[in-house]
Amino acid sequence: MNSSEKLTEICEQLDTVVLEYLDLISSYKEQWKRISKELENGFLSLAHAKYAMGPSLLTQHQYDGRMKADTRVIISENQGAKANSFDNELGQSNNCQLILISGILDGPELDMLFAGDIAADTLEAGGLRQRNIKVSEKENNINMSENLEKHNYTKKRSIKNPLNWFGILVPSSLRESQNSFKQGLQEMINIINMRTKIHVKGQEYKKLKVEKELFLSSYHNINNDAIDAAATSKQEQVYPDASDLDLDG
Amino acid sequence: MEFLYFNVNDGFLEGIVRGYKSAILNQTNYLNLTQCETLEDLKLQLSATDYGNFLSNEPSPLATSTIAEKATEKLVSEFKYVRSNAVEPLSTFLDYLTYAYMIDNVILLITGTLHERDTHELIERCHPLGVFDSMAALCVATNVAELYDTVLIETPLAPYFKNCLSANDLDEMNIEIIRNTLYKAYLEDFYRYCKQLDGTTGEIMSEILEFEADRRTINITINSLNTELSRDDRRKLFPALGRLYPDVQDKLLRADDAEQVKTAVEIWVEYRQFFETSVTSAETKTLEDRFFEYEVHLNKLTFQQQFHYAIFYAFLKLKEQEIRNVLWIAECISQGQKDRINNYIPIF
Repeated sequence: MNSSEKLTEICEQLDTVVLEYLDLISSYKEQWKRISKELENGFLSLAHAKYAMGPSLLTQHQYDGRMKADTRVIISENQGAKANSFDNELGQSNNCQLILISGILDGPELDMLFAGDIAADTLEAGGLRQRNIKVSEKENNINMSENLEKHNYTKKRSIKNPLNWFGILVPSSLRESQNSFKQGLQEMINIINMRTKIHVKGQEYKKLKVEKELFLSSYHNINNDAIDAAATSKQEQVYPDASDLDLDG
Repeated sequence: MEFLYFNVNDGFLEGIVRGYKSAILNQTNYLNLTQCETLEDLKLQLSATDYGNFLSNEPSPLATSTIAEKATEKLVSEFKYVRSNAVEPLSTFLDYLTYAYMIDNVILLITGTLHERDTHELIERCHPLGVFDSMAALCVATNVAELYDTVLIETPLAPYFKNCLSANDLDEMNIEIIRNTLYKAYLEDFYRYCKQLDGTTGEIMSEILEFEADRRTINITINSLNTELSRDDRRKLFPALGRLYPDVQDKLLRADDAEQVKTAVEIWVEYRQFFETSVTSAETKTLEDRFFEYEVHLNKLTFQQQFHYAIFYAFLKLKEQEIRNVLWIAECISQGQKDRINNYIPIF
């Protein structure tokens, strides 16, 4: 029958979604472990650099007062998926993708980004193809000094490496520390994206569940009506009306 | 013949310094410290040593940088006591010890000015052993020549500046070059001065300073790999003393990676061990750790002889190593990563 086929189809979809959801959750946990490892290594290397250089050479007083964010996060709409179906109650779209870009964008590049002429992922490897990009600057205040990449874009703007605030000839532990924190930052962005995906999957699951319920209840209603119609004619005299029952005795 | 006349002027201070030296934390103390679970425990353990209640007025939660600062304050007060009771030639010797800190302070102030930081903050961060009058005037300088003419010409660092008076603007690379050029000039000057002093001091200090020069040479080479420091600049930063001068320094100039550095330095037996990678992963010692270890070894040896000034130098350096050790242990405890906590260098 058509309806049972439809039911099987919905059930199969539900199964797939549940499996994907669980997969996402397990990779989410793995990702968290990776982040903790990176950050631990970063902090320990920093402590070792303090040991080698002397504690007074590695403080917040060496920060450059003119520092600017060099690594930025772009929050973009994921055009690939059905963005409209998954809005939450507040009408905000949960289906956003975060991409890390490095290098300072000025005038012409920024305009090109807004116009969608260049995709965000051409600025850095990875990420989905995006259009209608809304640039959001997120200055990373934690360990700002450790998060910076050399500008490898078309325009030759020399971005200052914050490692140089502490001198040019710094010990290798400090460089290692910077690398760990950069890696950790990338992983953090990945985990946020993963979280969005998990949320989306959860909503897909709920939607399918609701669909299934509706389908089942309408299916039962049709059947019940048919049964009732057959039964009422037979059972009208056999079963008295509930109001006739003597409830006291 | 120094043993005949040394004690007249300097015997009291040698006694004081030997007393300070016996208060340096030993292996048992370190074992206790590494077993602490929190920084409060660490503070308790330290109060049982010669440090006493140096952290008693600090609000909790304790930060590791506070521990280092307070310990340094204690060291500075001890050193100042010795310095204030010293007469010539010990007083000049002790002054030489402070020039290294003066160089650090000068660089801190110049860098801070470049980074547009508040001058009062910077002056507070200067190392107390390296303060000199007119430090605050450093904050208005824009290039080296001006710096020199207005401020530094009256300081003891003046003769060290003759090689860096080019009219370059101050940026990070140039500041690093200035720092290392100053230090090279200081090291060479100190070496010359020690050679002029009486026999034992000259002997012991030259060995120590030669090692210091070699260590700087190797560090400059390794840390400048993959940076923008040119070969010429590198050559100007190598001190002209030490075992590695001049042959190995030439080879190091041409080195492009860590392997080449290792091959160049290996002809000296004592330095070969620095480059050996350790077998156990829990105790990975970096090159800096091994340099510190060897330095501690040389400094300890100075106490085996009497009637010389090298013990004053050694005392200062050993106390600094102790502060570094305590700081490392405190960091490991506060970060909860105790697997590498035993990477400190035990002194006695």
